[in-house]
Amino acid sequence: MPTVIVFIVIFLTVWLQGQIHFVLRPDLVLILTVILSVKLKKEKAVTWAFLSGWFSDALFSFGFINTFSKTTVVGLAVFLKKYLMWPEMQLAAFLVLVITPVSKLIEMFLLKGFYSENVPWWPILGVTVINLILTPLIFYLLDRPIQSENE
Amino acid sequence: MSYRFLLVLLLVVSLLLNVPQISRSRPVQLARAGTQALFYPFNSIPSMLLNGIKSFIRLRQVERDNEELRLKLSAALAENRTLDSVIAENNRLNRVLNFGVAFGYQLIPARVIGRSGDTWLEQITINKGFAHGLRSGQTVVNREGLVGRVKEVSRFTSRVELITSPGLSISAVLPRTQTFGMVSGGYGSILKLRYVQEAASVEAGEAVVAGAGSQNIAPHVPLGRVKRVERSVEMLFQDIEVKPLVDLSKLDVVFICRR
Repeated sequence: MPTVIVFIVIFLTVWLQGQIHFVLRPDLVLILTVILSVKLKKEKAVTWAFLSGWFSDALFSFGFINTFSKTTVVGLAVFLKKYLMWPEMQLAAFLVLVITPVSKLIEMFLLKGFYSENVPWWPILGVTVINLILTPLIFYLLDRPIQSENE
Repeated sequence: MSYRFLLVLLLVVSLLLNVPQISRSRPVQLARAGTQALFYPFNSIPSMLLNGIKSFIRLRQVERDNEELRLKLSAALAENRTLDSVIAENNRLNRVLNFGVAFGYQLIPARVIGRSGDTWLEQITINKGFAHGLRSGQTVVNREGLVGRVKEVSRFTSRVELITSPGLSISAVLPRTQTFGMVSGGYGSILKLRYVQEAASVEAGEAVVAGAGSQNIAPHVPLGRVKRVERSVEMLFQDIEVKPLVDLSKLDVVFICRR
């Protein structure tokens, strides 16, 4: 049952992300994957990150940039989580703060490297701030449906 | 499967997926298409819901527009009816004006502002007085014919004695035979044409107009039509009933003839 709930949440998030077309748009999938990395076991977290990236790419983009970047940053989040014994919400916010620029930089380099596409760097700061603002809200929304598996 | 192995596997797979040769390969394209097909119903439901909501909002807008247009149509129809009424009034006034010009009078329009129940067929009050050039004794007409005569004049209003009033007697003539007589009121809504000799030819339905002999009454103004004629050898004069041309129960605008 939790797997179904997580799948539905990921699907809705991916769909919602696909409906936002501003330049400075939050990366909802990234926030979700970070929250999942905080709440779920690391194997599940990284698998869901891969799948959510895949879904994003399959539905709304032409390459597989998100698949790689989301898997990478969740791997990083899982690594950092070991060293930060903070409450989940603060931990999620901190990880989003750290990971959003990393994720965007990875996407920038991948786009440049594989598709020769230049992406401006300046939205990274804005997206980071927006993500940081939205993280507590999304965390509270998902706190009840997605039970923590860390205990 | 250990976490490290899984992570490395997924990273390698996801990195390789970005290699153009691999991402364009048939298995990857099939997997992508499969994902899209799997998600299609779920992806389309929110879109359908959104479109449904948008359609509903548009429908509400259309309903509001429809209501607004209905109101505008009603207003336009009401305006149209008013314009019809205005056109009819204009035609009526034109006829009266032509009537006035034909008889060489200047017509002063006036509106009926008062009428008493006990003197319904005797007098009316109009909204013009000597300030507007009205004088006692002037002829009052409407588009149909003779209405009466100005009896009393104040500064801004006047009282008009109707042709059916018992106090008014008017010289009249039957144009067909040039037979003269005297039309008198006091018989309800009917007039009596008196002093027409027994031998004179008078037929029901023939026209009666004002004669030249009446004091202040404009001659040749249509007055009525013969309704009934009664002759008797014992009587010196015929008993003739005349129906006025003017419907005195529907007086609204009248005109005062001024030379």
